[in-house]
Amino acid sequence: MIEELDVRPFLGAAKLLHDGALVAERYAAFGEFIETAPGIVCVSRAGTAPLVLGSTKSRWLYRPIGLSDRRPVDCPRGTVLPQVKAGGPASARSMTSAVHRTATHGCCAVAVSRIQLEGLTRRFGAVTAVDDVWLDVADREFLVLLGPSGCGKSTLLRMIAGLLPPSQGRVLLGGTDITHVPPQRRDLAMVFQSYALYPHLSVARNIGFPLRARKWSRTDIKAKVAAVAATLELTELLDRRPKELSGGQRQRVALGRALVRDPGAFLMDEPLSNLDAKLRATTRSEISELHSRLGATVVYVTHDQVEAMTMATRIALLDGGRLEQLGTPSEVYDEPASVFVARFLGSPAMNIVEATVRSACGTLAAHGPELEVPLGIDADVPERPVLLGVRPEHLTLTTADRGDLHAVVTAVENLGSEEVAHCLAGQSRVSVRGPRPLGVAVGDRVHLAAQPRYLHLFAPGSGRRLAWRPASVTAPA
Amino acid sequence: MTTEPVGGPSSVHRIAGHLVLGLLSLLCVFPIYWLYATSLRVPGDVSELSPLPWPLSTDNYADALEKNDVAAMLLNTGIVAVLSAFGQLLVGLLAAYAFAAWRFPLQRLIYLLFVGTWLVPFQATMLPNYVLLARLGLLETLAGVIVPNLCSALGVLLLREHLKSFPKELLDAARMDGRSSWTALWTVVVPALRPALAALGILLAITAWNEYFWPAMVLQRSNAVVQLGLRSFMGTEGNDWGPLMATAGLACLPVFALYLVLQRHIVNAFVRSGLK
Repeated sequence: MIEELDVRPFLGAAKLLHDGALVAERYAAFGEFIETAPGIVCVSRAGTAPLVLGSTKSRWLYRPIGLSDRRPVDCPRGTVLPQVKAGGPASARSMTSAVHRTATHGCCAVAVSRIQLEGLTRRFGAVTAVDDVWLDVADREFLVLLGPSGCGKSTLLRMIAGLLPPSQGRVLLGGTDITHVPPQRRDLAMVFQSYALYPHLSVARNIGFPLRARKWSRTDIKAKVAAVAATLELTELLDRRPKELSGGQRQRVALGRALVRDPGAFLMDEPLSNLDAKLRATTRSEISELHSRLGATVVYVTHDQVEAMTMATRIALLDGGRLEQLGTPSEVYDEPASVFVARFLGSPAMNIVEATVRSACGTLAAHGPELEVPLGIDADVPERPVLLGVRPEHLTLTTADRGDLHAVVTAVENLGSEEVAHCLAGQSRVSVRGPRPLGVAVGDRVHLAAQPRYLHLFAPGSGRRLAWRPASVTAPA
Repeated sequence: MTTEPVGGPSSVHRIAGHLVLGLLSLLCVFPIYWLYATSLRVPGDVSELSPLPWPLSTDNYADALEKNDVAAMLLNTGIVAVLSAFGQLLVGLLAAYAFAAWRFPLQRLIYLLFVGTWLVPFQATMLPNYVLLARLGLLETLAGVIVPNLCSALGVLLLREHLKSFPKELLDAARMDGRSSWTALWTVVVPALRPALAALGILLAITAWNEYFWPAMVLQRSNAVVQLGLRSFMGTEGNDWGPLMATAGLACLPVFALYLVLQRHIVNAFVRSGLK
């Protein structure tokens, strides 16, 4: 018997978890597919199993630790905590403190600019804009909050800034709880999407504004502003007003106003979205360079996957107010935790096809109309439906007898160096991307293949990633 | 070969438009011209209808200055106008800032009450205000003229509309930059709202300057403000038009001056505002 347990109150992102013992017994010999989750804490419904303190690394398996397995999970900061009774706000509180204890003990020197979010939630009436987000932004990290518009990323940033009080949860800066500290007393600087330059002040006075608020002396302000202006190449423009500047110059002034304070961390809310494409590319690299030079902590909000992939040390992907995945750019791209992440990153998006996993002659393969893809796993498990994902660049054109996927080309796009062929395989749309020319034309019947290591499997119901856990790991201790 | 731009107004339309505008401005300027023309006629000629006053004479002005202490009247009126306008701007600014930048319980209701006071006719509040001033001992004082006018719903209403369109990110930026809500008001909101404040200030000051009825009630025994001073030239045997026009002409000068000075300021502020 495999049971799905509702761990929503603690997990926020997914509901799943098998009864550890049963799973282990039944599939120990063959291995099993388990759904992965970005969770922080999970607990069995009976409330007797130990908790898993989740990691901030994307890649850990949702481990049935119930009865036999008390080892730390395979994540750097994950820890198995003592037993806590499930259910009710009391246990949530004790878990929070347990999480906090582990977090503070686990780290020998707490950096000043470390930002921790603990169960941050924001509701607007009946709408939950940010839903129980747990994040730990390390010192000097460049964390990108990525997601479609309306996913809650800006709301989250405004809560970190203190411009919006959270409905629930805590914000910690350098280990200090700043949830109720007003924004002017938080050591954070923010760059706004509209730049928010003071229209009545010159560039010099705009940059010096935070220093005047801090009662710096006139000469000190002048020196500091001149230094910042020099790094941003704004020296010529110091006497101008925002109105007289171009978009890119305004953007640099906004950056200067944040830099001048030497803040604990920078918060940036889509700072490049008002720039044209070329300027965006250069400013992107300028900000990245600035980040590595200053070694500052940055939390950066964007909906642009290119910005996220190129600038981030880690990406936090949000959807519907929930944290979908947290990981380095290559982790979220190479091992998306859900169908949403898989489709959001990459252009064209990952191909997702409905299929059934079946074992034949001791190996697993995904079957579907016009589709028979070997998964490269030798095992024998019961048949189950899956969503099979493969990136367009990982599909290769091959001959009919070697092809795993058969499709008809419906359109070919020329991207200059590459070509993308859009095809129809049964009912599913599939795109293939490769160096130009691909050598196919509209109407051609093509045969496609992908290496097993480039295949992704997702659970059809929850959309979560399915990871294969070999038999040895699940064997009872 | 030249071609007319497509869709632009034709020259006939342009000329007609300018003609209408010219007529309208003539209509507005003429009474003011006539006021000064009459005041500059020789005292015997004040009822003349010739468009140009000739010979010119300043006798009417001399007469007016002799009968009334015009300088003191202008000063008093100026004090009333400036303090009323300043008080209304201050109250309006603070109230509008609260309504636009904050969320608090019963916000809508309180705002409606504010606006509601605008709809209550002056005649309804006149007597209670008068009685109140009498009890406070403020009758026959300038303070009695100013205090009941310190808050105007119009000011709150107009400034709230301006503040609603004021970019909220500027307030957020000021708070991130280390300003409290109060200091952000003075360092960011007020400078950025200068054009609106100047325009409203002019409006309120001129309204207070021109006010006749309320000062006439409070200051029954004196001609402390200039609008009441004009009264003294109107008698049962007819009006003394010459000095009346001269005093009125003098009373208009500060208003013109105010507008000329602040108008430049307004235009300048509009040009310099970097708001997108």
